[in-house]
Amino acid sequence: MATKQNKFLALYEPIHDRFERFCRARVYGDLDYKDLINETLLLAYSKFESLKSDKAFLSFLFTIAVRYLASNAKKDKHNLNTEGFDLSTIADKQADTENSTNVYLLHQALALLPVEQKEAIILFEISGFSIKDISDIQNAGESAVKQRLKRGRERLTAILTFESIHKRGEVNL
Amino acid sequence: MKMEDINNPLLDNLFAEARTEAPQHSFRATKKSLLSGLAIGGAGLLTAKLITSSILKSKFFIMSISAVTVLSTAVVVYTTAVKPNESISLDKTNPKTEFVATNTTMGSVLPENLFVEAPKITESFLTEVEPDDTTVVIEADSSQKVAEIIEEVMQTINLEKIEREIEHAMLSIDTEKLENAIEEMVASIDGEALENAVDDLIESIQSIEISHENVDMAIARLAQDSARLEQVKAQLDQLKSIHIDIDDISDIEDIDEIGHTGETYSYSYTSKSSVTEVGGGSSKKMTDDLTKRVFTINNQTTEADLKDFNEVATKAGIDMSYNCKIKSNKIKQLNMRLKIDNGNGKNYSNDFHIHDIKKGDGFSFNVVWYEDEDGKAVRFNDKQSICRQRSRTNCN
Repeated sequence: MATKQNKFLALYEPIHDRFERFCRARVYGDLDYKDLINETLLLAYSKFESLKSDKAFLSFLFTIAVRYLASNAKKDKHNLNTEGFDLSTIADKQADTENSTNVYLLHQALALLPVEQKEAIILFEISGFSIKDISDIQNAGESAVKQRLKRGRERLTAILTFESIHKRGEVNL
Repeated sequence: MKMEDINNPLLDNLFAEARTEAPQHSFRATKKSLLSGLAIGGAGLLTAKLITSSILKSKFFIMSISAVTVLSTAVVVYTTAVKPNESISLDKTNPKTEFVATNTTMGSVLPENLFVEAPKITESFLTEVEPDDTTVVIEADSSQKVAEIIEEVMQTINLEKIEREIEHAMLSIDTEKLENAIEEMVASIDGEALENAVDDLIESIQSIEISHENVDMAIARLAQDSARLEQVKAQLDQLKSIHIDIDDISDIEDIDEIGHTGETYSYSYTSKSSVTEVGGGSSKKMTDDLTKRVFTINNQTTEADLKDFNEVATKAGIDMSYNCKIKSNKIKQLNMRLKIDNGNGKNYSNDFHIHDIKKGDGFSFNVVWYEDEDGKAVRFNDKQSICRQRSRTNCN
């Protein structure tokens, strides 16, 4: 058991930063990203034997996180529904330094996007996955992923350009 | 939507910042959380939190309900308790308390801080109340106080704090250390050696064969030994029963004083005891009044001793004849015949032949006869025992 645990942690340690950034951006305003990290790691650990190659651990972990959130969204749509979601009411514990102000704004803007778009953009832009990898993780076609990326960037640009992240409904693309 | 919007440098800069941003949740903290999650049985942390929270809430709810019930019961019991001969002073001028004052004949133990007043009923109703009605209405001040106390207690129990403490305690379990310790303990047990020892033990147990034949043989041997023991006991009893005339064996004691010369002897011996009936007539009745005479002749017996013995035997009516070879005052060869003619037609005879006595060996035999009241020999002993005493054996 200790061997499995050590191996798991050894594989996880180098990708911890990427995964932490993804979780933080992905569940901004919805959940505590630490809970998502822990839950994903526990699930990944329980299914660790099914991992065929150590190189696949990165996508293995991200896929579990994405699917966990998807299944969670099905169970409790209310939690992940951005309709009627007012960012001004969120107390962002993460935006406590000036250096992270831009990232904080980005997360706020991302939170306004549809889940698939937001997820695709985070995976592509922040986590550094390829379109093919994202299509595997999201279980969608590459063209669909490209569409999500394109539309997501457009919406993000609009949000950030018009500085309307605090005014829901003003961004109409 | 234009393409320049998609390739927005602002966005690229933001994403670049997001990519290089330092993690806010360190790997160490994540590891700790993961290990804690594994320690609670693999259940998800969110699940664990939910379970803990619901359990705590349920517990707290039950405790609160129980506390309220107990306190309410206590208040009701306390306020309705009545002590005899205890009155309450009420202002009878007050129409509200007049009714109570006239109807609390038994008195009560209401505390001073409780406000007691007449029931809030109309005057017309008061007129309808029977004089012996002891109804007492207690205002809800005490209940409110109880409720306030309960609220204070509930406030002091900080549920969130308890939850945090539990979570903190769960996180503080260093499962890695615990697992390492367990692994070390398990590793320290030499499983192979233990297994081998157990196998040896099982083999040794299996190798024990309980043979019924062996058991039967052992029992038979035991029975045989017991029979022998009984025989020996019987012989000992028989020997004990033999009466020895000390005067008669004084000669033997004298013989014992003669030392051994150490010369070479060789001997052989024969003993023959026979009874020959030579004529009719009634045989003499054997009674316990017979006196047993015992004489021991051994390798230390001298020729003079033999002569003395011959005289004693002749005096007892025994026809004795012997011849012997003496060397260094020791018997080297002896042939002796003793004959009793009791005059009733029966002749008894005893023959002793000793020769081939080797150096270091000895011999010993008893000549035994029984005498009647007149000192006459009646018969010899039925069993004549002659002992050859070799150098390494004892003659009993």
